[in-house]
Formats: sequence, C-alpha cells, structure tokens
Amino acid sequence: MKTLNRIKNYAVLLSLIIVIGVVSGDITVLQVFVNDVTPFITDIKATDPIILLENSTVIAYCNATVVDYNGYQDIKSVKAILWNPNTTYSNSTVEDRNNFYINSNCNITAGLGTSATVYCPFTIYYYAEPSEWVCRLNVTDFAGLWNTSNKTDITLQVLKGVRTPNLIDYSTSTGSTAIAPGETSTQDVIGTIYNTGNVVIDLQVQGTSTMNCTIGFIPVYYNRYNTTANMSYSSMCSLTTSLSDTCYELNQNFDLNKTTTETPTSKNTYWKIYVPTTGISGTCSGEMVFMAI
Amino acid sequence: MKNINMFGWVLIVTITIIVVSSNVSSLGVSPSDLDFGVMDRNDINERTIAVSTGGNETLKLTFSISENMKNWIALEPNETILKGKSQVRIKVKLITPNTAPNGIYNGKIRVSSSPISHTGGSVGTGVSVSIPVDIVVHISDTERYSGNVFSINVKNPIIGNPVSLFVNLMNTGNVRTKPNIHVDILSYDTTNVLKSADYSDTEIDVRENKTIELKISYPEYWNSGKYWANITTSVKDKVIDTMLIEFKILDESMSGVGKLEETTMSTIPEVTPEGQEDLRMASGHKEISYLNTIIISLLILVVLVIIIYAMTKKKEKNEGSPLEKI
Repeated sequence: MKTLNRIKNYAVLLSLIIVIGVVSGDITVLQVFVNDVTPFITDIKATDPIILLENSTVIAYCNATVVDYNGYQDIKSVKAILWNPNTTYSNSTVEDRNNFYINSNCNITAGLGTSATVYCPFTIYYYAEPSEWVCRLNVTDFAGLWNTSNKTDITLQVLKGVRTPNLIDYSTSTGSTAIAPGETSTQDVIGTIYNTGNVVIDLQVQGTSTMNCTIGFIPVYYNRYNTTANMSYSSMCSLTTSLSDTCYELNQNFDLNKTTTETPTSKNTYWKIYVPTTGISGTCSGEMVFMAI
Repeated sequence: MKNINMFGWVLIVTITIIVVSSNVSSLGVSPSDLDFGVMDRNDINERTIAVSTGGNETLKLTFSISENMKNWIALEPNETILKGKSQVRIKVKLITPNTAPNGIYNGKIRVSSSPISHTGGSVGTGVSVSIPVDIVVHISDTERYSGNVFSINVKNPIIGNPVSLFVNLMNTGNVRTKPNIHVDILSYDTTNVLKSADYSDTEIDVRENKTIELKISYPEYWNSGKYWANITTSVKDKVIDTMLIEFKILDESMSGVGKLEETTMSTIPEVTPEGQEDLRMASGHKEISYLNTIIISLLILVVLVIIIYAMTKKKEKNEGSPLEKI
C-alpha cells in the first residue's frame, strides 16, 4: 500500500503540467500545478521504556514528523494508537487501558514548507499489560489521502505495586476500646491489600518488632492472620520475624490478580491478636512488613 | 472481661485508633527484575529501577541487598525520600568481583518504604511495605586455575593419633578455588598403598596464602614405624604439586619425649605436569654439572699453583740482582 502510494506520488510529480508559457520581453514565466499527494510519516520517536507509576498514570509520547508535498497546511489530522500486539487488534475507538490506547487528535505544530512535527501523548494507567508495544500513527490530509507508519518494540515495563493499610488497628476488633489481658480480639481486623501494579502478586509478612506497651510487650507471634474470615484464633497463622515463615495462603496462594478496570483488584487479610495475661498495661504498638512478591 | 491487678494497677490494654495523615501505604517498583546479562570478571554494568507511590504520603525508602551480592552492588542513592504521587530513579551499579567463578548468580534488592512519620501514640501494628527486585548476572570469562605449594609438613603422630599434614599453598589463578589434596599413605618399602584420602573443603581466594591442615586416621592394627605419604595437590583437576614425604608413627614410649618430630618438605616453584617433567630433566643434568664443577675447580687450582710458583721465582730473581751488581 505504502509503496503504491509512493509510486503514485512520483508519477504525479513527474506529470507536471505546464499550462502557460508567457514570453514577455526577456522574462519567461512558467506556472506549475501539482496534484494532491499522499502525506507520509517519518522519524517516529516514542517513550521507551514506558515506566509506570504505581496506582497512578504516566504520560507516554509517540511523536513523529509528517510530510505533505502539498505543504504542511494540507495535513488535516494525525491519529495515534498504542497497543499490545500480543492481543487482538480491533478498530475500537475506546481505550481499554490494558492493551489499547488511542489519541484521535495528535497535536500538529506549525511546520516549515512540507513537514510538521506531531506530538501524540497517551495517559497510561498503572495496570497496562507489560510487553513490547507498538505505536501506529495515521496521517490524513484535506484531500482525504492518508498514510500509516509503525514504531515497534516499545517496552512497557513490569510494575510490581501494592497498597496496604498502614496500620493493623485492633481497636476495630472489639465493641469496646480495650482487649483485656488473657483475651484475644473478638472480631477480625481486616487488612485489605490492593494490587496497584501490572502483574499478579503474592504476599509475605514479617513482624519487625514486638508490640511495646506502656508496661510490658506483646510478642510478634501473638499477631495472627489468614485469608479466610472468622477463623478461630488457634486456626490462624502466627506472624513471625521471618518472611519465609509466611503461610501458604499468603505466600503462594494469595494470587492477587492485576487490576483491569478503574477499581483496583483487592483481597482481604484477617487479623487477630492475643494479649498475654500478665505484665501488660497501657497502649501498645509494633511494626510489621507486607512484602509483595 | 477479666481485669488482672498487677503492680497495683488495673491492667487493661487500651486500643485506640491511630491518627496518621493517610491510612494506606502504597509502593511500586519497576521493573521487578534486573538482568545484567553476560559480564566478565571485574566488569561494571548499570541498570535503573523506578520506585513510585501513587499515595499522598511522603515515604522514606530504604534498600537492602541480599548477602551474596552485598559487595557487588552499589545503589545511588542508597536511601531517599519519596514524596506523595511521585517517582524516583535508583541507579543499580553491579561490579563483578575478579574472583567469582563463571556461572549464573542470583540476588535480591529489597525496596522498603515506611511513612516518614507516624503521628499518634496509640495501639496497633504499623505496616511498612517492601518489594523485592530480582537480580541475575551471568559471569562468563576466561578462568585460570593455578596454585603454588610452598611447603608440606607432616607431624609424626604417637600411635593411635591421626597423622597431621599441613599444606601451605597460594591460589595464583584468577578465581576462588577449592584445591584437592590427595594423600596416599604407603608402606615404607613403597610397595603398598595402605590408605588413600581426598580433601577439598577449603576455599582459597585469589592470591590468598593458606595452610590447610589434614588429619588422617588409620586402623588400629598399624604398627609404629616409618611410612611414606605421597601428597598430590591439584586445582580444577590440574596437578600443581606432588610430594613424597617420610614420616614416623611413634611408639607410646616416645610420648615421654615431649616433642613430636616433624618432617617438612618445601617446594617454591609452581609445579605443573609439564613443570614436573622439566624438574625431572633438570635433576638428570645435575650429576653432570657436579662433575663439571669438580673439573673446573681442579683446573683453577692448577692455574693458581702455577701463578704462585711463577711469582715466587720472579721475586727470588729480583732479590738476587743487587748482589750481582755489588
């Protein structure tokens, strides 16, 4: 298609019609008309690699030079799509944010003579599929002639992202504001984990400090967790100081899929605590780590 | 609810809601694995990771590197502040050590974030977020395995005690290696191999000089007396030294002497199979060179005698001439 268009362009250029030749004294005036020629795209430059921002968006560009021998003013519009070629390409006009982005109206700057620069920004979401992407530009002129050109192998990088609560707050586990020594929290504390990247994640957990209280302390392993709600304290997994001790349910079977829509995918973790019978008083606080793997 | 009175106070653990500026921790790392490809030893390569947060909270980022690559990787910066809804690029510089054997190496960088400050002072477990970055590098370079055995020392044991051998050697190659030391204990007439043993547990760094101690036990029925130890040292299947050393297993009665005898043999040059051939040839020439030395010495002696004789005669002649004048 592209080759045919080029041949046509050259043919048109060669068939210049000399309409009038006026000889006036020593001056010869030649007037030349040029038929409409198809515009074309050169020098595509794209953001590569595309590095995503966790739970947010980044701007990626696909810029190029467009040429029209009828003058750059003849360029009507430039459309760009950015897509993952591992998926089926459709002529959709709607972005799915996972594998297909579209910019229907790239910015054409004032050019010089026959060429102009086009800027095609895309707002890429954090859950765009990691792969080698393609940018395709399509230029159309006022005569309805059009052309396309691709830029391949644009790396969209893997983003591993996670959003966690910044506190497992046991105050939500009781109707009152206190857990008595020798008792466990009565209800689950829910820690919701969101996948804010573009790959599936599992989790590892680790207690990094005992819960120090006004008087005394609560050992790390009195914190317990699971991925099923309303389990008895004794059936839950103990938090330890080692990531590798994380229970299978989190470590290998959590499988929190990547987000595919505007709402991030999430799963709950459920937490309970036991307060030792003696030597504890006041308020307590500790530290733990959620590691996305 | 049970209230237990300890230290004279009513012991109740109060649970209150912590007050923080944001109630979530949010962290992302891209990419989550770094492949440094194929590198030579003592080679340098650089990659970048982007750490980001879509949350509003300012985070303190810290990084920890797995133990096996701690000395290989430098991060720039190695600690930083990440403002809300932003991204920071971290340079990961990997320098392959000049002693690492060829192979594929895996490690991890753990990126951790914690809120820059917790406000409030109540109860709960504060959460930090971590994401590991997998590192892989393939070291493929010309490996040179060689070594130098400086000395081998055998401590003569009292019967019943193991034979102790001390092999002092240096790794003169360009990769860390575990030399193999093969020991054959021979009867004194060297006709029988009584026991064989191999040791290859000790790793020696490049240009490191180490003394490896080997303890060789033997059956109870062995008698006191003289034996031979034939010690072959090799690195990566290449023999660098062979040595035959005589030693004694001492009688119980010798224990009263208070000092055990030692037999030491030393070799300075690196000995390769080819080198051993050279040494054998060199020792064959040694007898010829002794004869040459004796002959040359005798010749020099004869020449000296003649010179002394001639000088004496001349002196006598000089002393006599004034008398003749008188």
